Amino acid sequence: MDLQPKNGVNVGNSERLASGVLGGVLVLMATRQRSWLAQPLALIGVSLLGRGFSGKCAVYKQLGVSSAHGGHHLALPGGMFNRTVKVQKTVTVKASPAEVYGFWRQFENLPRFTQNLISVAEKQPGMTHWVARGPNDLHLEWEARIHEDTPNERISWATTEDSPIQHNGSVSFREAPAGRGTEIKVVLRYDIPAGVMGQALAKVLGDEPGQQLDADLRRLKMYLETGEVARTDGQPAGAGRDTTGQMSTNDAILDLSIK
Amino acid sequence: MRALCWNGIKDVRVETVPDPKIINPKDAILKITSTAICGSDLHLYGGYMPGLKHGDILGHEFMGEVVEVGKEVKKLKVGDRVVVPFTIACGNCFFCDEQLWACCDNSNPNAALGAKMFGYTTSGLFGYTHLCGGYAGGQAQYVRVPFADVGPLKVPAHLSDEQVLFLSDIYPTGYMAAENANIRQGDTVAIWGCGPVGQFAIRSALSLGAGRVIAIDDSQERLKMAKQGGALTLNFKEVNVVDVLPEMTGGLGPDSCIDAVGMEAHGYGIGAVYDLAKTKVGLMTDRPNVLRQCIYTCRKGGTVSIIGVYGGVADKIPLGAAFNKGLNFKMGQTHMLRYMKPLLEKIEAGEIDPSFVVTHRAALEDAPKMYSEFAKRGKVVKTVLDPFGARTKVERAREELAPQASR
Repeated sequence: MDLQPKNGVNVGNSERLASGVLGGVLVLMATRQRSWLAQPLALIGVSLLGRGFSGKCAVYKQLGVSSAHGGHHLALPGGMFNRTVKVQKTVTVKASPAEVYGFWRQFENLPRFTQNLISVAEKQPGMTHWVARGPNDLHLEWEARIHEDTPNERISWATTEDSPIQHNGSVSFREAPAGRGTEIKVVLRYDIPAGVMGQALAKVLGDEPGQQLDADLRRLKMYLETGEVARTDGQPAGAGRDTTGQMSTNDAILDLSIK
Repeated sequence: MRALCWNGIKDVRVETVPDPKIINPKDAILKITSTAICGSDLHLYGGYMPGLKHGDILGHEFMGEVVEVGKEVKKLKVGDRVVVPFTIACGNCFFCDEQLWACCDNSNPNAALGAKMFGYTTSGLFGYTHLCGGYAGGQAQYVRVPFADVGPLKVPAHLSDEQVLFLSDIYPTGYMAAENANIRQGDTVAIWGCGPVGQFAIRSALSLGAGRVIAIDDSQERLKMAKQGGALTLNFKEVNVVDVLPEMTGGLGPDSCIDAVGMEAHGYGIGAVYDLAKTKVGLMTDRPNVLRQCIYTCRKGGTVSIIGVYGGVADKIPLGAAFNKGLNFKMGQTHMLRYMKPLLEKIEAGEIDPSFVVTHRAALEDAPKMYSEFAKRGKVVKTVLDPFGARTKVERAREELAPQASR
């Protein structure tokens, strides 16, 4: 999903105010400066003022991030703080714990149902290499070591210490009651670092990382139960889909909710 | 191919769009021979259901000939003549195992969105919003049918399209409404809404043992058709249903009340005006005027069966009346595959000829006109569209005379 909103506003309201005030102060300072500093100060001041006024930031646009949608965005401006994101979801699949464990243990299978993984490979026993889709066709890569591998019960993994992304995860398999298959519980934890890498990772995780895991697990269930993942992309639609500049309320709701 | 596309509230157009393709291995492509406009399409037409996008192809009552199958399709073959249920079921999840086909876990690609709206996802539906998967519908010349070995039902050659087409939705739907009403021999069943589903509910209720069926609507044509089906009729424009129903039932109230109207209930009186006002300002999506009457008039310990579609939130439901009278409630989208085969057998045995419901026939090209006529709830009860039919001269002339009015 592209975090860049359609109207181009990608700076949040409080940040716009701060931007505008700071810009104003800088411009004022610039007018009183007689040194070489005057010009750059004025330039920065004017651009900040413009950013505050319009709510559009070219740098954010380039990074593919935004602070314009309130607090639930992971992509905080500037990525000023280290944060940890933990998500957890459970899904029941009509298959035995052994079957589901067997599928997951082949880490190569994960991209079959996850939205943002391009590949996962177990290069040597217990060591996996992950490649994920980042913003603007950027690839994020990291290594993770399998820490726990109890057949038919639980697998856990964590990134190596020198990995650019600190992440760990676990998946456990439990027989569901009344012969309903297997309850799969996934717990993922990401340490989102300050700076550009953190922003990129935050973007991969999306607005609500829990929702993405939820969607991924639904696809896993589809794949294991039916052998395919239900899709409607690539279906025909009328010209209105592409040519109608305006969106109905319905479309707007959808665009907020569907990735 | 040509297809009917939604372009906004009360704006549907027949456009040339790309042909559908096999996307998943269990898909089939159908060349559609007959397709119909459903009452629930009017909820989309009027913009009451959230989740439509511009350009979406509508239509979920269709049948035709298989022209292509995916590599994992085992039972269906090219050339098979089939009728397709409007709900899409994978056939292999817990809910399909439980015969709750409309609750299938695996057929809705936008499951997360549906879950946000309803708590858990519903099955995918053809041509019925992105909440229900965003599947392209069947008011078109061709359609992609997922899980092709699960849903489509082969139909015998000696039955005409119009005799079997309604196995795609309204006949099973009307039947399930009656089945859900817990009818015992001799019971009185009141049915609100004499549209196509109501018509099949009337006939199904009688076949399930109802002593009498009281059918409620305000359209003369529909009431006439209800009477032909064996119902007593009430015109809610002429009488106050809430007063008359107890009088007709010895002060007891109907044993079962069926809401075959759903979220766009029209009506008169303060409740109807209140609902309209709230939906217009966006505080409510559904107008539950009929549901209120069902709950209020149903006898103590009776059953309210809801088959008209609700999609969002409704207000001022008299839950106190429902609780204190100990009412039973049953509702939901039709679990199509429970009913299609048994009902096909009834058709083959000559117990019912569903084509009685057809009042209008038109070419797909004339579908926008038929939508606007249908929305007036007048003479149109059921329109069957021929996807390959030529546009009528009248329609062409109308368009030439008023190019703005009919696109």
